[in-house]
Amino acid sequence: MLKISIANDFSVTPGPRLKKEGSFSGEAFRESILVPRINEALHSNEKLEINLDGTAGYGTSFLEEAFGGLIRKGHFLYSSISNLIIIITDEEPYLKEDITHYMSHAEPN
Amino acid sequence: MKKRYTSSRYKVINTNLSLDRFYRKVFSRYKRKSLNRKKLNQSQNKTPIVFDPNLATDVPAPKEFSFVQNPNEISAFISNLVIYYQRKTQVNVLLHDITTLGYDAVVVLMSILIKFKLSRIPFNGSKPKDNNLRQKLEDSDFFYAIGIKKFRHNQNSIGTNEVCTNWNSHVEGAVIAKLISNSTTLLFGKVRRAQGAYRVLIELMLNTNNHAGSRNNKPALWWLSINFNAAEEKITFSFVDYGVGIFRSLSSKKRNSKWGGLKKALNKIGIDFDNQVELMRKLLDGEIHSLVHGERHRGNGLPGIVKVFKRQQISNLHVISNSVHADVGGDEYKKLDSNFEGTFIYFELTKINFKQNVKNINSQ
Repeated sequence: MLKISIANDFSVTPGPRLKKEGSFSGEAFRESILVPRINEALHSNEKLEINLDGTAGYGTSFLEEAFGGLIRKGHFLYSSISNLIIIITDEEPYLKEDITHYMSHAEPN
Repeated sequence: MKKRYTSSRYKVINTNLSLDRFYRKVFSRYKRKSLNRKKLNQSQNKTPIVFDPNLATDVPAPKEFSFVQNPNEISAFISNLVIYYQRKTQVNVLLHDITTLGYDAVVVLMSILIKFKLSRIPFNGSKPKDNNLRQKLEDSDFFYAIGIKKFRHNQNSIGTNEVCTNWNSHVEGAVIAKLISNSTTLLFGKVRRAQGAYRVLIELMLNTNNHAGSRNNKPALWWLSINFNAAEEKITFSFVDYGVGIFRSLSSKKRNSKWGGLKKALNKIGIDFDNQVELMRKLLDGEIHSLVHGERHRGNGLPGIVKVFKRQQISNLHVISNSVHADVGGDEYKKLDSNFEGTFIYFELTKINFKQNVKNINSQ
């Protein structure tokens, strides 16, 4: 199983939605870490565990852009990655539901 | 040759030469700048701002000087100041008769006085007669902030009170995390993370940068005041942006833009666009966020803040924008007599909010 820890692999202070809005944005996370790791998981036919714990917190925009953006920006189809991604969050369990919502409700542009 | 270059005499000569070159370079840069200024017909020395009591208008502050407790009078007081600011009239802000003082009102007053300062409009004022209130005001960072010549991100930090702003209009999570860790250290004696407060502050700063700008599309300036109340064991957060406010931001959109059809769309579902109280309730509850933004994935900021409150990660949430005061905790939404040009958010962090976090973790 492949693993991403946002606190260790990206930042302990996730920021806004877009790169132009500030540091450590959801867009930057999606493009630099999330998409390559999902591609890697798809090629190796492994699950991808994403650990959200250990950060200062998350704005809704960061999560929507990072996870909803996967579908909206046409990187992947929801059906192809919904079973691939495993969200781990002990500190903020409600985020799991939020992320699923962002991904399932995102419409490709 | 080698000996010559390494000799102490050579080193002294070389140092003097490089210093000489450096000073010539600096001086020529100075000359170039001053020539450019002359070409542009700009004054090299700005005339100092001088307060003239004969030209100034007295603006007495409401006795109950708290935005959360006395929103009507404070918004009328601020509206008056805004009018004087727009007319470039000098003001004398009288605080001597106030009987209560909230940091929430202090940060709002501070933000408008800084606008005076940046526009080089002289102002003055009186301190509260009450010793405790005067001390509280002096401890609040107010005088420090209005005396600053140039602001930087997270400008200053003094003990139990902290005021910061966004001079570079970027949302920086590291700054927010630092502010939270500073304040939680005062509350617990050690650093604690507060994911709810972090989310609220990220959303507020982002909203200000994206929506609060005036017609010239420049992002509005926000101010955040964080104060530790040792007696009540709580940290208070007062956030103010001097943009145009939530409702004016919505109504200022062009008719042919995707926002333009908002009024009709709201009417279709039985919501009167002009009923700001009802609109505020629906906005905060997340019932119309996608309608308002025209994009499904946007507009989660304000509802996200209310969710944080409902999860008890923060306490005592108040939102004041244009002519509406929403006491979210008390579920009271009221229309104000005066319009507040901007958006003001107040919330508190107490130990209970952290217990709630622990409960969330343990319940898994």
